[in-house]
Amino acid sequence: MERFRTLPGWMYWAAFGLMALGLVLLALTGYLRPMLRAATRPLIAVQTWTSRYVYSIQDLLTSPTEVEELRRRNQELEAEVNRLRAQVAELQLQVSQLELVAALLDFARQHPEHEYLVAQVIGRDPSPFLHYVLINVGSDDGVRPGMPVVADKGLVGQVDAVIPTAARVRLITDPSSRVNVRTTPSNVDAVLAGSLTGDLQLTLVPLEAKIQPGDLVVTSGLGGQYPPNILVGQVVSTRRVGFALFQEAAVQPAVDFAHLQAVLVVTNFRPVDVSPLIPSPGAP
Amino acid sequence: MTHLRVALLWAASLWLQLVVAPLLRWLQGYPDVTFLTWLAVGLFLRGRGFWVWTLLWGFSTGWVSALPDVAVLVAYVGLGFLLERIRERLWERPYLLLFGGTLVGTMALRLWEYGVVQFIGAKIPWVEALRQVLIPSLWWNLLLALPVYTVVSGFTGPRRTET
Repeated sequence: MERFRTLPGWMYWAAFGLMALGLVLLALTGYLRPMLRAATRPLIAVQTWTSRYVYSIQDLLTSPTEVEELRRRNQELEAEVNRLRAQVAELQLQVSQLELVAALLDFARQHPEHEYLVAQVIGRDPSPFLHYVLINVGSDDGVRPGMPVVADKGLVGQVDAVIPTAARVRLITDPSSRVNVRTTPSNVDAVLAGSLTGDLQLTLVPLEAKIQPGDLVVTSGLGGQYPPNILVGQVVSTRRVGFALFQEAAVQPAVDFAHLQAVLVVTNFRPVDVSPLIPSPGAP
Repeated sequence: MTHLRVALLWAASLWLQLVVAPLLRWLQGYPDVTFLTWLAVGLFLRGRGFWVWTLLWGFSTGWVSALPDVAVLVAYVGLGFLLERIRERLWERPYLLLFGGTLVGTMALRLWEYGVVQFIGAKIPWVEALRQVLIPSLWWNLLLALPVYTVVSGFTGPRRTET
């Protein structure tokens, strides 16, 4: 021991340096790895055990405030989701309404000779035998009985009755509806009749007339009840019955009457009452 | 039963009939909510009150419909008399009265409407009217009679007669 104490100081440093160098070399060559693994395994186990319990205790101590915070945050987010859902529904409604109005505007642009009033369909007739709708414009808006009503795709019907804030429209599909029409390009005048089922039938078509499926049906303007050249539908089939004097044709309406939401009332058209000009059977 | 509650039922039934009922179309028939509500109210209400509401029901339905106002009014008054007669015999059996009234009332109302529509110019074949409107309407009304009755009885409270 005495001899060690008497060793010169540089030798300590040299021995220390050699040891350090040796350790570095062992570490670099990988010889120390098993030893380090064996030494650190219990340390890591202890660290894992203590941290788990420390974190649990920390959670326990801090959780009440966090739960409260989470609950509040959840409520806020739920409110936000509900608000956004309502906003999305509102926007979807606005988009569909805009599309509808745009389609009606397209129709109005294609027929600039008329003045239009946009109306919303607000109800249907209580009787299933009748095909009438109620619209939300009336005499206060200038609507009068007899005014034609159209939609983006074509003819809808005619105003039947009016009150200051609403009107009732008889659809062309009503069983009592009769519209004077012309087919195109075959250029045949006929009468379009409605029916209980909503199907449209071309009646009083001369037997010699050459109507083809696919022909368009437009208003002829005869009789003065509707303006001419408004699209009504398309011929889908023709029918000749035995000794009948006229042939018939089934017409697919251009307007989807089951989903009618908005219409245009043609306000600058006045129907002509031609009944005084029709001779009565007993007249000379 | 207060008249205010009946008034609310009347307004609600009319709104449902104009807006919702046509959406439940089966073939060409759909439920007649105004008639079913009137019938259910008629099972609770008697005497002068019943007749006042019957007139109002008939007038309002006729007013919104394209059928002549008087025709619908007459139909409801007729149905009122019919209900009175059925009620005399079946007053102890409200459910039988309800379904019997729905069956007879719906058929009578639709047949009356058919006659009026024919009279005012529409030419509807009888078989088509039966198949497309009468049977589907009857089916709908029988299906909805009990729910409407339940709503009306729940809304108007325990059974009470007015004279």
